Amino acid sequence: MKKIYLPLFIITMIAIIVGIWIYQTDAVKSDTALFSEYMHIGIIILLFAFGIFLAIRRFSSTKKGLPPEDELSKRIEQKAASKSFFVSLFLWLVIMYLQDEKGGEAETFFGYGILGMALLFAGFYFYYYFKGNIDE
Amino acid sequence: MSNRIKELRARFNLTQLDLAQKVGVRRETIVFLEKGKYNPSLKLAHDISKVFECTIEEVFIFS
Repeated sequence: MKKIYLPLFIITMIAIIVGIWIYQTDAVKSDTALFSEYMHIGIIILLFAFGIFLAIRRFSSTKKGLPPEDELSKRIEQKAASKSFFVSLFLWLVIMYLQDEKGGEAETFFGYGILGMALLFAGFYFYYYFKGNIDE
Repeated sequence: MSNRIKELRARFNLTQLDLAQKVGVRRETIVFLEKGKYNPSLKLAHDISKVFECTIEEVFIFS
């Protein structure tokens, strides 16, 4: 049962942090929000939905008396993690180039990088989840 | 690699959920196996063939 409570705890914590973060962004407070601010919120909501999707899958499996994780789900996670890490190396290169060209705060670009990595992981996860053939 | 899981499951009157519970995996794994989208580990292949009371070669066909 601990395997179920830990992700639930992490997701709840992330939800609280994301909620506070979104509440404090200019996009919510002001009427003149930038497109990029809305995009940030959109990506965060997408990632949160991804977390909820994973949690629901775990809960539904456990409810049916099945393990929350098995060899296929672990392999999909590992494959998605390795691919997203590889692609994110190029993402960081692009981000470094953009920071050099456009300037701006390093924290903002770190934010882009972290969000990008998380989005890549979610994208690769769904790709392997629906495509299968992970041994190829 | 193809397999006869669907055919054997019907013969033994098992649902995907029943088979998943017997071998200790998620139902999606059985779906992926039946569609030929996933090659199982040796342990899982052994467990599945044990449920169907036959050898691994009789369930999984290496072509």
